[in-house]
Amino acid sequence: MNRANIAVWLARLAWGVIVFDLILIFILPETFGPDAVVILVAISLWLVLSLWLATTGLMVYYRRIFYTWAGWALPVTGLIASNTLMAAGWPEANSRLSLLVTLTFATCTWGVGVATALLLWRRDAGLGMLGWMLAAFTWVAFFAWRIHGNLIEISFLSINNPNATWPLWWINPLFCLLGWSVPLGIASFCIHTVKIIAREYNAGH
Amino acid sequence: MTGPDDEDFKLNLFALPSQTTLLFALIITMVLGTVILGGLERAPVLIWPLAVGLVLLPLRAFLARPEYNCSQFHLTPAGPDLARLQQAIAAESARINLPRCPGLLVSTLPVPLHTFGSFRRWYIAAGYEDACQLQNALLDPLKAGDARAILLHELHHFKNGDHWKLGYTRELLQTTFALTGWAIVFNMGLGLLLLVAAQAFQQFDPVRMVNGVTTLGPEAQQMLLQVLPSEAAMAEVRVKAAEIDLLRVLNFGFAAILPIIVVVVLLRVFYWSKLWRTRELYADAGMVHTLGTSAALYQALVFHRASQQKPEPEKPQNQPSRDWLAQVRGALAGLGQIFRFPWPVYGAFAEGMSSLPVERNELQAYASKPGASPVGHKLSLSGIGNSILSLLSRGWRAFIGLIKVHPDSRSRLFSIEDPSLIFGSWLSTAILLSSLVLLLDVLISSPLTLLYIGQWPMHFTTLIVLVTTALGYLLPCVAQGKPVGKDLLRIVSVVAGLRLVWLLPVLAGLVLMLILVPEILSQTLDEAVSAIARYAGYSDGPAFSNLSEFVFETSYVNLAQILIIFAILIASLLVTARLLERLFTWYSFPRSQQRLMNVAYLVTGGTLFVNGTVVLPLATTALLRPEELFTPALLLQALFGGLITATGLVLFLRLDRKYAGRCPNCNALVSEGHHLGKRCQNCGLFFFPWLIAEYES
Repeated sequence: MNRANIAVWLARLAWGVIVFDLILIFILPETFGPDAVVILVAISLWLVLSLWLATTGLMVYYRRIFYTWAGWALPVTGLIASNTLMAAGWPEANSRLSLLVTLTFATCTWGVGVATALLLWRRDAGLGMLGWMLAAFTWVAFFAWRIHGNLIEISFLSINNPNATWPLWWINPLFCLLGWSVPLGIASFCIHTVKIIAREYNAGH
Repeated sequence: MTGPDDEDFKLNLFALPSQTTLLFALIITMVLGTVILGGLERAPVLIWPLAVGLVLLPLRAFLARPEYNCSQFHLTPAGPDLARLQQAIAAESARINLPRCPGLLVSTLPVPLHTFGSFRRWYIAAGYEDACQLQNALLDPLKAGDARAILLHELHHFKNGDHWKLGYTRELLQTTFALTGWAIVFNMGLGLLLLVAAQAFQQFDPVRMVNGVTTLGPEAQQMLLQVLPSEAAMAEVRVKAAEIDLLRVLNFGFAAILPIIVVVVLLRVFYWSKLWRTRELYADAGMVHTLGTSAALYQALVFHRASQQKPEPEKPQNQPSRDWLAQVRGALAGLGQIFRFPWPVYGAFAEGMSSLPVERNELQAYASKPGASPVGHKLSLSGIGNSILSLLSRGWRAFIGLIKVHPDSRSRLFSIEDPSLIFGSWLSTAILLSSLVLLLDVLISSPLTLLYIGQWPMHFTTLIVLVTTALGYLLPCVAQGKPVGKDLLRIVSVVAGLRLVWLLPVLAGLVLMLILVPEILSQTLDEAVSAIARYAGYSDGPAFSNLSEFVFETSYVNLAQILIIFAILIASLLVTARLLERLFTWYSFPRSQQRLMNVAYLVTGGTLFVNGTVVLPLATTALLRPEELFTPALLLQALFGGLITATGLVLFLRLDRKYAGRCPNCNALVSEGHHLGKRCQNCGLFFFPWLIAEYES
């Protein structure tokens, strides 16, 4: 079995895992008893980790899509959409759909990292991404402080009411992007620099 | 240049300083020099990372350029179907002794023939169809010479080092623009954030905030308090923060970075274009030198035009001519291309082809049309409007001529027939220098260079004007035996005069404001000093004690500087000219082809040295700090500089006595000064034959 065949089967397996998890979400009971905490934690862990792995596998398999900025924007859009739905508490009455939205958010958070890694592996844009993400963050923080006031105090006081929506929920995607851009941007810049120097050095020999 | 025997001698461009290298050095010095100087000195914002970035990032981008170009233009290595072309490239590379043979890359896109590369990876790229056409031409005995001429033109770009000079310059300008643009956006955002957060920061109380989180237990609260700063630490930070004037910091950041952006844009629009035009002329010269005839260029241009020609669409009848509108649109499109990213490819034979005569008997008429440009147009309006439009169109054409990246065919042919045209007239040199001085003044207004400029305001512009004039105009003229005295006077007068032209209104404005609105003037000047000097830590107290005294002293100092610079430039250039004229009579100087230019560079360097260590420091100190004129440090420096210069002069005079004015062959005395093609009247030996280009007209 050659590498291409293995990749195809792994992609099919990833799709299968995703379908299985979707089915699992919709067959889970609405509530769990006090003795089912372990089962609940196990299911949650399975859902998150399996979705992360499956997403990673599929994104690597369809990596050509994510070599472009448009492709990179796909998980970012998913992140923003799921974050908005979560903050709005949608859907209110349906806990399964609510779980789906939460898992989508978690998956997109991971997917943004994979997409960024793929994009920056292909394109030497690490430094630019890092720089402009930082610049965007300063401006967003400025507008947020201007509108809402002391961001640090708001963040601390929101611990008092964990069930309420964090007032700065809309910053979450930016935190996610920044969190991935910093390490991946630096790594990409270093790796591409080494590649450039190696290519130049080997050209003379 | 014609000698007394009426022989037509052409100047060998490659025996003199390369104008491409000179322009490259000027651009690099202006951009990097400013930032590196600023990075060495203290500033409230970190400048040295910017300096490090501007040195290393363009180098990185330059090394990565081949991959970028290949990706952008879909270039792939040429296959065996273009083997003949690749063989021809290898053969011509060996012919001109290139250290490595460029690889051939082709694209399915209509990419014009051009060269690019890094230090070790050299490429010639073209569209596939163009490459096939070139290969077919190589197989045709009638066209093979023209095809080889085009290849030689491209290969001479590598021989002249154009790939790394222009490659690095492009990346430097691009990186500087991007980095400084980002720095402004980022610092503005950060500054505004700190401004809005400042008040909250002053009232920040970690204990109160942690205690407000009621859902945390006492242990968790204690852990948080250990992580957050203590009250004592916060009090210390508040005291330090209160001393910071954020607006002034923002102001400093803008004042430091904005001049760099302005200068980079101007360098990109005008100097970058000039650099590209100059490199094309040198590549033409290299090709013609190799082939031994100037006709090679004409034939290559005609061949290229024929190979690029597409049938013109038929114009519908009864439609009024819109040639001039099309020309304006084309010029605007060309102007817009300058700021496109990625920057467009500049082909070797891409422009100015439309009016190139096909028949050689038309060439003389084409070449002799005064003032006409291959992209000229006819206007059909009459009356006063015609004159105004004519003036505007000439101005527009002149502007387009300055920003075009390709010389037109006429300039290229003229430059081959008279290579000295590449060095330009005294007027073009004066305009180049005046604009350089203006750019330097913009850069100098940045607080980054304040420490140096404040202490030595005349050094930079004087030394840069000196070296540019000496290497870019004076040396080529002296090598041809042309008199330079009047031209030097004109050049320096234009440079000083233009500076006076923009300074006088500024000073007049200051005096007027002093008379009419002294309070506003006082406030404005104080804020300006704060923006530039105070926040960099160079000035703590009030900018001035007496406003009138300050204004009159500023006016007197600035006007005096212009006069002093004028005098120093004239004197230095005339002395340098005299020494160089003397140098070019060293007919019996051994191995003059390898060594005479080195002596010329030493003479120029000596002029710079004596001005930099003796003349300018003494003049500046006498003007700005007369009480320090007789300090031991200054006198020692002047003495040291003077001794070195005197030693150099003595050496020069000894060599002059040994080698000047004698034929190396028959030892006969040679009277009169040097001119191109000068021979010994006794034995007929050509003096400095390496100054003469050896190709037929």
